[in-house]
Amino acid sequence: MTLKHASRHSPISAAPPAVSENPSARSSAFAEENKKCLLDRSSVTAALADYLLQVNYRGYAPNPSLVLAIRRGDRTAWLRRAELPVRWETYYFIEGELFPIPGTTRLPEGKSPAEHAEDIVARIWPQLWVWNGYDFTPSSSALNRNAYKNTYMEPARRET
Amino acid sequence: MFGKKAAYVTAGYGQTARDHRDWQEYLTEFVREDPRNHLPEGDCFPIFGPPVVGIASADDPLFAELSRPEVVASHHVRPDFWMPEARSVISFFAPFSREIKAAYKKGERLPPLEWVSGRLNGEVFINVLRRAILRLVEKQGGQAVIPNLDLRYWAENWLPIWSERHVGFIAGVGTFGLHAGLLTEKGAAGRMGSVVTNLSLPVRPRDYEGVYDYCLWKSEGRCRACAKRCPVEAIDHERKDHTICAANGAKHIHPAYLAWGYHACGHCQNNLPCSNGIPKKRKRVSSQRPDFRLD
Repeated sequence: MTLKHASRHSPISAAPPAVSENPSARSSAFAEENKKCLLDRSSVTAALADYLLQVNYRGYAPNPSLVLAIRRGDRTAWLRRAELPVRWETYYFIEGELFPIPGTTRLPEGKSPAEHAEDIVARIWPQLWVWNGYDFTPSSSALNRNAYKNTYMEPARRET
Repeated sequence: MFGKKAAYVTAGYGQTARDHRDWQEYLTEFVREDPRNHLPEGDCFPIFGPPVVGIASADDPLFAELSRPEVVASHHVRPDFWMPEARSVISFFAPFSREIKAAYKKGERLPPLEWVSGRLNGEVFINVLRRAILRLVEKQGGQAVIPNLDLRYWAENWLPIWSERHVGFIAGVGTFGLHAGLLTEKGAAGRMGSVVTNLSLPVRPRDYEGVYDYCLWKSEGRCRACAKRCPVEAIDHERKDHTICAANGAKHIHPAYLAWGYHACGHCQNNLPCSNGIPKKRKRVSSQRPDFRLD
């Protein structure tokens, strides 16, 4: 069986850069990530706390049209309604896209919106961080360059 | 523009997606309903039309072929790299909308704003579609990985560890053209995505045999419209030189659209016999070209 593709264009370059062999270095990169101008966790948490406040007022009524919007310039987040996109911004539906399990945004008894926001952001943070990183580097050769280089969890390249 | 309040399509999607037609219907719903499928400028044209979807078995032996240097690159991985229990790979091609393609005038050396914006913002919406597949897989009790939204993804010199175009070929979405893009029933002007899942889904049979079956030049020795259209002669009789293509983007298109922040060319995908579909009057000659056959 052959699959010969005649439009191959350039020789394969050398093996990709080595990955840190130190596991602690990889995990600490996660903590260091917020110090860089990447996705701003505090504003994500604050926006979701505001959402929780709104949808848990007088009972639980999730709002499917509210989205978590993130500005490209400083990677800060806020709430807006799902509408036509604006330049240099991306957004995610809170109900269904960020939190696919119904009821995730219901405020548990005795918890404040800020506390619950911290909890649910922690659940989605690694995934949201990656999604947003790729959304702001479309057509990129991956999250391994510029501001993203050597941040967060290094991909397990050596496995390839 | 949106009479009803927008909501995430998957949340209200009551159907189960099994074969490629089901997934096509699901993604078409996204293309139609999700507000993010619109340009952020001007009249906010839709970016994409209804996608073409294909499904491959994760065990398809052609995946192993992609790691041959003459096909993609030795670092190209198989579906089980992303997910050891992978069973299926869902691939899709989203064609640019009629409005965006109509904005691409034949005599212009530079692409229009609609195209360069659609190229960049469209890629963001392709991410939306990739995530949409992930969410519906999860809703159906499965798990999925999006290779191009995964930290393990990387590429060098335009050689990725996961080639959306080649995966699309294996999944029955279309064949290659001389312009190196994938040529589908909805044309060649579009963007692609794929998702690897542990759901066992019906495979979409490939309606072709050769790598270039749908390309008039490669299969019949006529056309070369894409090569003639290229303003910097990045396409010769055999292939597209991505170095020349990228240099054109950097030297000419990027400066022209600097204030906008865009830079993509699309001459070799627009105003061609293959821009909106598979070229007609095609003779099935792939069996006469053993070099490009899937034996």
